[in-house]
Formats: sequence, structure tokens, C-alpha cells
Amino acid sequence: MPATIDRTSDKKEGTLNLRKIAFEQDKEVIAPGHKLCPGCGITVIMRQLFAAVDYPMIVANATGCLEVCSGNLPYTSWRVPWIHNAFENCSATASGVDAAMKAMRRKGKLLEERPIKVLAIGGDGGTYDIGLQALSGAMERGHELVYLCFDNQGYMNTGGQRSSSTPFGSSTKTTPAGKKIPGKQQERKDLTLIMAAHHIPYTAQASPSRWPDLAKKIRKAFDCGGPAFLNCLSVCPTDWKTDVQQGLNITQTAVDTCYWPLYEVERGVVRVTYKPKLKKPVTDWLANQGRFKHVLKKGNEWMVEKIQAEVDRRWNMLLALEAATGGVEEKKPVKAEA
Amino acid sequence: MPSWREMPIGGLGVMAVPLAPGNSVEYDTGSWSSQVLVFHEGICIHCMQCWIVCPDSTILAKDGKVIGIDHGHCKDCGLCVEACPTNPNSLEFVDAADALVGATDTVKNIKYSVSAQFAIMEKPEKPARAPKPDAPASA
Amino acid sequence: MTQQTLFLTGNEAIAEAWRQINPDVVAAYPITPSTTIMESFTQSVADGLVDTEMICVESEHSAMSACVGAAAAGGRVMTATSANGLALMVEVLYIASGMRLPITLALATRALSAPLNIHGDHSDAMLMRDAGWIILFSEGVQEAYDNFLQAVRIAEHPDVRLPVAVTLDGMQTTHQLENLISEDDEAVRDFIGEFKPYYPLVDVDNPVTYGACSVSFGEDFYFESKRQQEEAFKQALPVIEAIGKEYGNRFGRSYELYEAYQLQGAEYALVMMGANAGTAKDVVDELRAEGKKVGLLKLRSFRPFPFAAVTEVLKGLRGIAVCDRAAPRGSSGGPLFQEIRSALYGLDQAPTIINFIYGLGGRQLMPEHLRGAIEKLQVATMTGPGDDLVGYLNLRN
Repeated sequence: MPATIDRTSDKKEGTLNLRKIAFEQDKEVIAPGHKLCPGCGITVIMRQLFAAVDYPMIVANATGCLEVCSGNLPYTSWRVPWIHNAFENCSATASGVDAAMKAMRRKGKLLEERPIKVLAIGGDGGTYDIGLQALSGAMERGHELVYLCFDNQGYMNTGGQRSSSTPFGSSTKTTPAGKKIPGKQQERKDLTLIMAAHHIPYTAQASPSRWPDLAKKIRKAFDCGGPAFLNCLSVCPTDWKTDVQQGLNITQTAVDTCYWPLYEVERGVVRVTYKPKLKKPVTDWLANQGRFKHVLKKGNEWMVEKIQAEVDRRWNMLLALEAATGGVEEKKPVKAEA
Repeated sequence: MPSWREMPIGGLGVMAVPLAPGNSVEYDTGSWSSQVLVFHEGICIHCMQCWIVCPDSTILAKDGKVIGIDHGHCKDCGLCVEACPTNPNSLEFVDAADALVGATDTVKNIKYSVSAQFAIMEKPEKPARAPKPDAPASA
Repeated sequence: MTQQTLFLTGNEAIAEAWRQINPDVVAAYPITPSTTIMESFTQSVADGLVDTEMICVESEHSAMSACVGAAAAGGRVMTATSANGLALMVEVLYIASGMRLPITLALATRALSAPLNIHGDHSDAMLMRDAGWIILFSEGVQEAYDNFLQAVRIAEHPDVRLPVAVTLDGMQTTHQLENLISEDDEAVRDFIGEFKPYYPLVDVDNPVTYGACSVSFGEDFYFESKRQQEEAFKQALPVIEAIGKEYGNRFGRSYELYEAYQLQGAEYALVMMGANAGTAKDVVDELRAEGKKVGLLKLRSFRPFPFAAVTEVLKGLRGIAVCDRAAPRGSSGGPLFQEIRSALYGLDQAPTIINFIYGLGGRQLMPEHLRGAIEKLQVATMTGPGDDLVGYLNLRN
């Protein structure tokens, strides 16, 4: 974070001036009083999304941490129209909302002039696994909707069971680090690339530890005129067993080790939007997380090597994709942003 | 609690008490922690880095300035403390017990119950802080 | 188009009804024997005859999920499916009803796997009997069309607000060609009326929360929500009758909760639902001509089950043979048999009631099978039903 702020850059178009954006608490889309854990990454991501765009919005939320903690009768935190259907179908539900709006506008029954955006939200559970079919179908059909996945790398709402996004080696409730099997033995799925392969107008991977990058991606997603998919790493102090206060620092370490690269695929062009000046070793990411404690123990060096090799392989593949699709640009001078 | 005849059908949250949208503000999450977040108005540069990382919308902003903390909902996670770039930090934790006893004579107002609260507290001695190790590079 | 007589299959008749209704959204997935409903309708979409937004979803679960999203948004929505497709969307059926969304479904009834069988029976309709949907059974192509138009009115009625399923027997009603009187487009639109959504999501100035969980101990709403649904079912009975009467006034064919066929002065009766009631009517006519006092109760509304009306019309009989097109699966008899017995419980002189399972997996029901059933019923009435109340028609024993 910059130590000084250039206060004269307020008026520049296209920049995101937090001092101008920061709104009062009663304008928050998600009201406080929700039951998410202290330091949970989910609402950091959601608040950053709602700070980046100001469209009227309908939200379709999959079952999971966010849904259960924010829509829990008799309380609801949502100040926008919101629907929770079931675990695996928020994409299908959002498709229905999108279609209904199209039909109602065609019939002259929906007179709201402003475009009403449709946002589908799910955790990695409801997106990578049980929700993958509905997500794939919705993206292929070309609905105008944005899908935001908050990836906390497991089924956290039900106590921390493994998902296909859980990293190799991670100890979870269903892949505990035991005497014979040291945690999850499968590499995690790369859903962002799977969604890019649907050839939708916009796909991106972002992190709440880099708000300006995330905000730009949110805006591109909502303005791309078709289906868009965003995947954001979301720290879960409860099940990652991390220090609550360090949540965003840990998230940023995932980015700096290239474990969680920040990139976008915009109409077929892959662009890596953040290249760390110094690529940190993956042990920095594994450290300070209780779920990886056994990985760093003596005798498990093979696990660290495997993880590092896979991170490097995927990072290099991403850079190659960027080069191959014309995503490498000339270096622009770095601008100070609020 | 309303009877089945009185509630809206379908268990919906609609613009009518008791299921109004955004009514979670009535739910106290501020008492979840035994610590209290202190905001030093004099040091704050109003960069809003704390505002953009708070998971609970408890950094209160108005007209481009941070004006206080909503202690009725702050869960004291500390993400804002980590995000704050000033040195010394504009945000720090104190134990709730110390805050209540009145460790300082400029404590204005602390409540743990629900309706809107913000407190601005100044501790007389601003502690010197060690330089922050390895601040993440900017975007 | 003005009123016309068309030569159509049941599936095409449903698609014709949809064309006239002009729903906002149809989200559907093909499955035999309901597929041609979707195919006929998509031709209307492609030809610009409707304003409907057609979503060709990637599974039945997504079909009902998209219907829920579209209905909650504020649109009039409908879909069609069968058997395993219905089974796949069951979770969302309960959700649609719990959210009180007036969605309508054309169910081409078909046998549930395993073994895989694409022919008709009622096992899938029975799968959804507790899902909180109104279920209307249709006898033929005309009834399927008439039922569907009424279904939209019933579902959207302010005293009801429950989703409604209209059944067509798979491979029989769905695929048989019959004459259909398709009413005048304007008259149908006038009967259907404008859709008035409650709490639409698109009303962004009055945000609504759909489907929040209700788990807080001492502060939950689940039980009350279910009680509300029961009240809606109670209120649906007179609404179904009133709309059936209104339909009759407008279009000349009126409908009730059931059809009583030759039950006046009857001693024995068959109770049935769906397409094979037609065969039963023929058998009843023949037996009546032979001097036997036999009648048929053809039930139309399976959910809500019209207990009072059924008790009233059946209580004076000596014997009743309830014919189920769904298996007992470990229970005392088929689903309809259990409902009828329950309706007649507690009477001073209850009729003898026995059960016949027929037509599973499309197994044909011929008049001689029903004659045999009546004979068995007469014997059972005189000598007592015995231990085994369940018989099977046209089963290779």
C-alpha cells in the first residue's frame, strides 16, 4: 500500500478513487450483522464488488457460507433483490432471472430504464463441484450474467470438507493428514481456465488483496455484454487455520508465489495482470497455515517439491498462453492510484 | 414472532417488519470479541484502505473521511489494522476491559448493544511502532 | 386464431395451449415421452408466434431451477418433463412450492427406472405427491389442453399461489392423435388474464429476499411456512371447482374435482385416474347394458385430495376396486388405494375396497382385465376381501 496518497488524482476518469467511492454504512448492499466468521474473505470480496459497480442488481446465491450467514431468517443482510434456490443451481436460477427480464422487457412489462444486472454467487463447493453443470450450461447459453466464485478451497460451511479446489496436500475434514495418507492427494482443478475454454466474453481470476485489479475486473465483467466468470481467492481463517488478522497478507502471498495468478481472458486474449517482481517460493504460501502444517514437516519434502513444480508448470503455461494470444503488452508507466 | 397467518407467504424477506431487507443491522455481532478496535482520528490520513477490506462494513465513512467504528458489529478481525499504512497505525486493539474502565479520559462512547454506534477514542500516548516488515508491493 | 378443431397428439395440444398462453419463460430439457411438447413449442418460438424466452437448459434440475428464477423475477413460466427428469428436479419442486411460485408443469407420466422403460405409468406423478404441488390428472388430449389452461388460473389465484402439474399418460395421451377443440386465441388470453407477480425480483426499489434459511432456534419460520402451504391446499379445492365451472361457462366443457360416471345407483365402482379411464368407461357401459350396477369414479384432482367429496360420492357403494397405475412398493396398496381407504375410514358401513395395479411400464389395460377386476370385486364383497387386497392386471404371473 502506498504510504502517501496523491489527492489531486480524484477527478481522473477511469481511476478508482476510494475516497470518492467510500459510502456510508446504510448504503452497503450487504448490511452488517451477518454471521460470517471474523476475517472471512467472502464479504471483503463482496464489498469490493459493490464498491466497484453501482448497477441495480439481482443476486442469485448458492447455498454456502455467504448464503447461510447473510440470509438467515428472521434476518437478512441483503439490500438488493436476492434469491437462494439450492446448492448447485444458482447459475440456472440466474439464467431464469435473465430470461424473464428479457421477456418482460419485450412485452413492455418491465419499465425500469436502468439495466438491471444479474449476479450469481457461489463458493468453490457450489461452483467447481456440484454447481459445475449448471454454470457450464449458463455460460454456454450466453446469458447476460456475471458469476462470482469465492474460492476458499473447501466446503467450509459444512465444516471444512475437501472440494476439487482444495490444494494438493491440504488437510481437511474428509482428507485429514493421517499416518498413511498426508492430506488431499489430488491436484486442484483449474476452473478459471475451464471457464475460459467456454469462450465467453470475459473470464478472470482476482484477489481481494489487490482491490484496484479486482475492481477493474468486476467492471469489465459487468460491461462485457454477455456471460462473465470471476474467480476470487477467499481466505477462510477457520478452516485454513490461519491468523485472522493476517488474512489478506496470506491471500497476497498466494498471489506472490504465483499459486493464485491474477489474470484475465478477454475475448480470447489472455493477460496476466500482476507479475510479482520477486516470485516467492511456495513454502511462503504453505507457512502459517494449519492445514499445511504436516507438509512442512521432515519427511514430506517430496510434497513441497511436487507443489512447487506444479505451481511453476501452471504459471509457465499461463505465460505461454499470454504470449500465444497476444496478451503481452509494452510496459506502461506505473500510475499512483488511490 | 409472527404466527403463520401473519407472515408473508413463502417465508420471504420483504419490505415489511419483521423480515425487512438489511434488517441484520439489528443483530449484534459486536460482542463476538473481547477486544475493541480503537481509531486514532489524529493519525488517520483517510486513505480508505481499511474501509475497502473490512468484511463487516464497520469502518464508517462519510464525505471522504473515516469518521469512526461501528462497535455494534465490529468482530475485531484486524484486517483493517493490517491494511492501515500509517506509522504509527491509526487503528489498534485494546482489551475491552481496559476500554470500559476508562484507560483514557477522552473516551466518548462505547456501547455493545445494537443500534448505530461509533466511537472515536484517543489514547493520550501514541505508541511508537516498529517499521512494518515487507509491505506488499502496490498494484 | 379463432376456435378450430385440430387433429393433434396430447403433446402438441399442450404446446398449442402454451402458444396461446404466451408465457414469459419456458425452460425445458427433452425426455421421452414429453419431448415433443418442447419441440412443438420451440417451432412457435422460432416462427415468432410467441414472445417467450426459451431456455434449452442442460438438465431437468436446471429446468426447474431456471423456472424458479424466472417466476421469482416476475414472469409467467412453464415447463414439461417425465419420470427420471422429474426425479432429477424433485429438490427444486419442493423449493418452488415452498416459495409459493405459480409455475405450471406438463407431466408426461412415465415409468421410473430401473429397469429403464419409456412407456407410461403414474410412478413419476406419485414421486411428486408430497412436493407441495397441485396435481391434475387428464384423461385425453382435450382434457390435457383444458386442464393446462385452467392450471395457470389455479396456480396464480390469490388464495392458492401454488405450482400446478397437469399429467398426460405417457405414450397414450402424449402420442395418440385425437380431435382437439382449440379455443379462440383472444378468448383464451382473456380467460388466462394478466400475470400479477407477488414480490418480483425485478422490483429493485423494493428488494425482496427469497429462500433465506430458517434455522435459528426459537426464531425459525419453517413450520409456519409449511402450515401456510396446507392452508393453500385447503383453499385450492373450491378454487379448482370454481375455475372448472367458469371454464364450462366460457367454453362449454366444465370440470370438477372428479368425474362421476354412471355412479347413480351403482353398487360397485372402479376408481381410476388418467388415460385408461376411457377404457373403464367402455367397460362400465357394457356392464350396465348387462344389468350390472357398476360405475366409475374418475379422479381429476389428486392433490389436493378431495376427501369430503370422495367420501360423499362413494359411501353408499358395496364394493370399490381402486385401480392404481403405480406400485405399492412395500405399502398396503397403491397410492390412490390408500387415499380412497383413508377417505372412507370411519363410516358405519364402509364399502369393501380392493386394489388393482395395472399398466406399469406401459403394460396395456384391455377391457377384459377390467371385467375380471369387477368380478373379483363382487366376490370379495360377498366373501370378504381376504388377506391380500392387492391384485395385478395383465401381469405375467
